[in-house]
Amino acid sequence: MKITIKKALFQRMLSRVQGFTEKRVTLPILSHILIETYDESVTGKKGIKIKATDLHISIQMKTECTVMEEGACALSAKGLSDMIRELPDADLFMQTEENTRVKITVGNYMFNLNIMDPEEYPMIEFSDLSLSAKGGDKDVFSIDPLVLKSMIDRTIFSIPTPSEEESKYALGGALLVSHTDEKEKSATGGKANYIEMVTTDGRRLSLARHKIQEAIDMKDGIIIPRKGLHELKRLIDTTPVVSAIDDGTDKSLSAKGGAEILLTRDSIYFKSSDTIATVRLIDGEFPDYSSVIDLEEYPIYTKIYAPKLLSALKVCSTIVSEVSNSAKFDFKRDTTVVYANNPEQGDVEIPIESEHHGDAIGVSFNPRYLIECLSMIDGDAIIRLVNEEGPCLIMACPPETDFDSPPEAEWVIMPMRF
Amino acid sequence: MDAFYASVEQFLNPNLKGSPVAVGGSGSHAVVSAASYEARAFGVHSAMPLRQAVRLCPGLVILPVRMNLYRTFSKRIMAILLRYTPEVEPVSLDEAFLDVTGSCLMYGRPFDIASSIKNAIKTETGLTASIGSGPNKFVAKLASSMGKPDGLIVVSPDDVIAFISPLPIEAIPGVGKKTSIHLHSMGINTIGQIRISNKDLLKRHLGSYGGVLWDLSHGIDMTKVEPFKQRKSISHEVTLDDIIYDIKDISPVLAELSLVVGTSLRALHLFARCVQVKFRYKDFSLHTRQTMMPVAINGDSDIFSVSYDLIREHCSFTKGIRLIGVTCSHLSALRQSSFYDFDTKVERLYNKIDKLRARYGMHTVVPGVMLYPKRKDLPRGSL
Repeated sequence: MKITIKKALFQRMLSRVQGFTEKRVTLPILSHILIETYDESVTGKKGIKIKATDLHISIQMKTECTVMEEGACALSAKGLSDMIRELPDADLFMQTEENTRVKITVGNYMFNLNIMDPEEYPMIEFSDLSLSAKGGDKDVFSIDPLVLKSMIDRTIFSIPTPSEEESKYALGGALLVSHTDEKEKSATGGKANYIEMVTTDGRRLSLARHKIQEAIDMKDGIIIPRKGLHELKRLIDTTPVVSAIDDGTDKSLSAKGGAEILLTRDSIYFKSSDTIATVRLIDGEFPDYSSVIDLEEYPIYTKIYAPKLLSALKVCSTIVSEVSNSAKFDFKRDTTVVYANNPEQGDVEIPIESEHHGDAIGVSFNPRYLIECLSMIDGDAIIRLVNEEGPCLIMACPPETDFDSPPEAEWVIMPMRF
Repeated sequence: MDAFYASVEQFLNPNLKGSPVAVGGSGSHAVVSAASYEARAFGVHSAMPLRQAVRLCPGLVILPVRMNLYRTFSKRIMAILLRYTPEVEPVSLDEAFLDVTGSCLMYGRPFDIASSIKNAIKTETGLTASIGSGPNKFVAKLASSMGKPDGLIVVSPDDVIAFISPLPIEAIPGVGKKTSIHLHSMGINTIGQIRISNKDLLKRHLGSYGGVLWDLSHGIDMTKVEPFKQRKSISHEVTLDDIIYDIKDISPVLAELSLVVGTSLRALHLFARCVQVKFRYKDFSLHTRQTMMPVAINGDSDIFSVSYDLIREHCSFTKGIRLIGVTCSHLSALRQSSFYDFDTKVERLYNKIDKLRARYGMHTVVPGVMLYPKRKDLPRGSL
């Protein structure tokens, strides 16, 4: 293989695919990326494809570049991108030497890097899905990438990280499910349809909801793994890599880079002009969460300005001890008092004006859990409660005009108890 | 308290009064836990192997350790101390610091308070106590050690330097073998000699502890009396009978340690967010590794799996393990509750297990891994 490519372009591609590699060393080839040349006989275009996979999530990026000699090589993703980052912006020349080494030259910098046999690289299947398939096959759905991204943003933090994954309840992923509200009528007179993304680590639950025009039937829903969500979000955030039109206005992604998200029974796909990525779904059963978000279970509620409570909690966190990890909330008629103490440091008490309905109540929570969801709310928040030992449900205060439609996001947090 | 465990035994069995008594474990490797002053006259001291103690003192009366009994006495003594001030910091079963700054108006000078306490302990428990008084904890501790047995020494602020200067460096609590060898090599043998040495030089040789020593030698100790200090950690460790080279052989030991630590945690209604393992290789090098958990735990099996992961990840078994320990810290009575009733079920289960263990012994209910056939015997927990 012998190619020349712009270093800046190559670097952008590397940073995009790097997250798809496997960092643990169980199978060394998975920490590598595969670079291979392509030659489209129809268009006469030549260039390279960069592939990365950890066997669960996979990506392939494609770009045109000068190909002097066809071929392929597998390079350590981290080693390569760490090195490329430091180089000046110029043409990057790359040539393999007998499948054992690759020579990389940028300006007067020259490197020889060890490579692995491209034959050993796992085959990645990117089945040729397209939106047109949607009509024919009922099992293929599409979602607006920006909708998916905003749902990920509002829920990803309550998926347990691999280190805190404990036993049965930690699925390590988010449920994506469709939902039709039988009672509510949409503007067009039909039933209102939603898709929901739900995550939980057993101690808190996050739910993001989006109204869709057309009903889709996702059955029991699909579970997208955490790492996949993270990479999908990054892809959506950074698309398009090579921007065709980008005048800064907030257009939908599809308009910008032609990106789309497609769902099937077993995978979720990201497609844009130069990138295709797949995320294998988790096979499992998501715990039943319907009773947790049933508003009738929460007789007490407080209305409070979210940014104020958020900043109070951030102050509290500076003093919350690692030991107890909790802040006390006293919900009273017209104030909410947040209190945190740390035997080694001192204590802090912050009253915030609020509007409480129901009995006064005191509950302790891990402040980090509240901070993560309150930062998603711009205006007033509604905090619903059961009792001292029950969960709390947080949502943005719905506008007066639309009090009945379900909120765009809900968070349920279990308290600390003695 | 003076020779606390031994004194309690002597008090309960007047026939033992005046004879050399040692309280200690049983078995061939047992050591002396406490020795009466009569036994100390023969050179018997705590931590000495019982066999050696008997050699030194042929008439030595050896009694088994009765921890619950000493605890009862300890509680009664602490209750007496609390009459004089709420500022009581228990250090161990038989030792406590009192801050009587605020009590002088009511009870008189420190000397009056001290003799009143001594009297009360003597008449109400039959045991003798040694009391030292000084402007800070360091001086008070030295004064009480100096006065043993049945002592009462009050050091006024003006006399501090004169009192501590002639004492050997080993008298300073916290100065162990290493530090004392280091200081001796610098030509320093007494606290007075620390006082006249250069503070920076001490710091260079001993690190920040050098500065602390210099302050102490000037009678400066700013640590406060902290009443009923919260437990900071709960730990248990065991020196292995045979060097272990295989993680399979460590599992039953870890299970045992987790069981002991978990039972203690639950007895105190505490949850831990941090688990630390400690291991000593055959070459005596000591290592610790710890992990912070997102949610506090106190179940035996949780502690086991966290410590097992730490050991598996950080311990190189080819080096041979001779000691292993588990410590739970970042303790809190608060815990994060969860959506599932699984946690409550586990809690109820441990509740029952703990009751069984309290009644029929620690090993009534053990995890299967502890029955691994290679284990010759189960190391006994300290409970």
